[in-house]
Amino acid sequence: MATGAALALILLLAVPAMAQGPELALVEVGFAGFARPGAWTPVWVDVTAAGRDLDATVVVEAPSPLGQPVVRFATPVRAAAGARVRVFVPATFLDARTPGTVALEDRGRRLAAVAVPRLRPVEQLALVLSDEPLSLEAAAARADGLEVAYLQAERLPPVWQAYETVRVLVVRTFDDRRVDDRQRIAIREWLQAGGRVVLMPAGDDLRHLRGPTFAPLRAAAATGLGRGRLIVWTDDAAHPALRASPALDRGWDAVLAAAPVPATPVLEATLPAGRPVPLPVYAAIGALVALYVVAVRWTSRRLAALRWPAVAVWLVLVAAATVGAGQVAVRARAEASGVVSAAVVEAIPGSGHGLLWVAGRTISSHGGAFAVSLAPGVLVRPTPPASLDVVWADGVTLVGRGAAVGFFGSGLVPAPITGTVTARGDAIQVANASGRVLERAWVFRAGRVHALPPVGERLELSLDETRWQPHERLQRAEGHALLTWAFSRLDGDAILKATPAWLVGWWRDPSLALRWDGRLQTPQQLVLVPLATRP
Amino acid sequence: MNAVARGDLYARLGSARGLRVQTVYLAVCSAFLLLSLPPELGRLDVRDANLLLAFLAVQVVAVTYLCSATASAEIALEGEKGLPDLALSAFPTAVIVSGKVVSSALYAIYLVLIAMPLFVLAAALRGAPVAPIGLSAGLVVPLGTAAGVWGTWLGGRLASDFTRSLAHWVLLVVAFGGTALLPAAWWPLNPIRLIDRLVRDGPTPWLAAVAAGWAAVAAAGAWLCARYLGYARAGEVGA
Repeated sequence: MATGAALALILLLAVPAMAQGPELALVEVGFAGFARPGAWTPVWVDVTAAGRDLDATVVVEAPSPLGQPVVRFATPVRAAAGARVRVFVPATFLDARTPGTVALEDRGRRLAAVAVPRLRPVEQLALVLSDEPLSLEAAAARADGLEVAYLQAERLPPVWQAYETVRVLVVRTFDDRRVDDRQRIAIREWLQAGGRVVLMPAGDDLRHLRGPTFAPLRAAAATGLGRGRLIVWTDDAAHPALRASPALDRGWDAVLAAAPVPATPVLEATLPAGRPVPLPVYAAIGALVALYVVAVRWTSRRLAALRWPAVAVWLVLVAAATVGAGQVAVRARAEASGVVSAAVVEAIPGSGHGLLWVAGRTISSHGGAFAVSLAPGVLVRPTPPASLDVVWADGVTLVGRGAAVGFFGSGLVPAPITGTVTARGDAIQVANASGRVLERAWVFRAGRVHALPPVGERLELSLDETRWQPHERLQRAEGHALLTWAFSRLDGDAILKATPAWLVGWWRDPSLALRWDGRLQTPQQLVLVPLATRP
Repeated sequence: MNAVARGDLYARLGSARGLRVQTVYLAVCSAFLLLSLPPELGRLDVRDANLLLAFLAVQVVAVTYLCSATASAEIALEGEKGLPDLALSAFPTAVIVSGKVVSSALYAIYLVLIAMPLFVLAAALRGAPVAPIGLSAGLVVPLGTAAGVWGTWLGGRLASDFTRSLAHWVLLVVAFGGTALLPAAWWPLNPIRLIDRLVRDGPTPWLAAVAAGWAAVAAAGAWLCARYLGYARAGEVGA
């Protein structure tokens, strides 16, 4: 009796613990609640695995203002029983009023969910790491659409693309122990891609300026940080003597003015509308059909006698032909479907890296399910928004259904290629350490282009004045939408025009291959390399 | 097997003209298949459901026509005996009538089956569901059977080729065009509308009801054939 009661008591105590599911808590969405609709936004959640080990997925569902489509941004999460893990999910929200929900799912089964609170829509942000106010608000108010957000260091995103809304990062109070390597790398990559960081002491505390996060960046700043800029202030902007000073205001104005808004290229228009069905597919299907018609005629004569063995054989043949036709169709469909894409790599001087922009569209004969994977480090979102899963693990995989689903992505990729051109434009030198040959290359200078031979490891060439031609003529000859886009961008973009000469060419980088339903597609990338001018 | 049915099928499947008929039928289906191939992937002008509906609509019309035309001798096949010839034979009336019903049903099944690989290829190439192809066979076979039996009766009842052809086409127009003019509530009676529903919504109880209805129409045709044979053997044809 006593034993039975004890067992019942143990069971009663154990059942709630066993029944307790995992917990999900929203830590932060955006930067202190700020986010720009349509831009990459950091989402931090805590997942607690109660009761048993957890192997699940954190899903951020972001519906459009009309409710559909719903983009789902997912990241796998694993936790031992009783452990709590902090998970980062890069997401784009489409509606600041009702941004969506964050859910924990296990193979499609929802374990927990929490609604994302209303976001504060913003165009651009000045991100501040400081335990005291820095009087940046007045300067921000003078800059159109700029807000100031105070953040803790551990909430800095671990991917540089999530800084998309950030115009400048101001660091005053910073504990190196509260960020990990991924966050450090993200800051460096964001700087290389064009970010702006302002460093300042916190009173007499200079530890963060010498720590593992910013000391290497300060050292690298001497030789160049790519497109970005690291500004070091010797004074603490929170110092009472400086806080009300007009000099501080002017300083902030200078910092904000020195952070031009980088234009995101629009590549969608360069994508081909479709992919022609290869003539051999028509020929093969026509031949199969003709063969089948002949076979039916042949068997029909023998069937006419209506003997049971002949009938049975005929039935088997028709059944086999039907199943075979289905399999041929499925195979042809899978072979013919894929992705059309346009990829541009813009080399960043002094960094050995390049900014990769990639736009793509699914091409499918059937509108069925697909999975597209991209290279690690490339963050991709559907454009325009579409109902699909953006799974972020080692790389991004888009999982969805339907044809003509567009996507746009960005990343920082190795592009160790540099070059110079003489001021008179009569000679060029290129050093290409990428290991890839730049094919069908041109020098672009003042609206004209000069064809080059394939660029291997090194190229030194005198440019013949008579071989320069207007880029419009080359565009007509080449007929490639991406090339047309590139020349018009080099000709028209205010920031890019500051570089007088560019090396333009194509290479094929296998590490940037797209994986469509398990098959690799390696499209060519258009490479743009700014050329330094030498006497 | 019933000797009358065996003779009819031998003529339809084995005779030179019967083979040509099949080849034309398959050629029409193949042409539809090849023309439906998209010129560019990702740029589809015809929705999958519409494409499949077009295929199955062509099939139901073609099978109905071929079943009735061969039975009524509008497409005369060497070796196939019509009711006037069979009335003079020693076969009992029941054997003749049941043979004509069986040959019509088996010929309809045959035509449906030989087109199946082409339709499956066309549907699967676009990822359209193949189930409606099987479902529509549940309508096409009884409809083709009924058309064949009524064609048989026309072949006996109307001696004039012109009158027979006219009556044959009037019946086809009534089956497909006349039923389309009925009020919306009567939609299942129109074969194309019923196939449209099968393609879009999948199985419907109306399929069984309509198939039973066409089976009843076939039974009525069989009764007319038996009545004709009775009159013919009594020397009262034309009465």
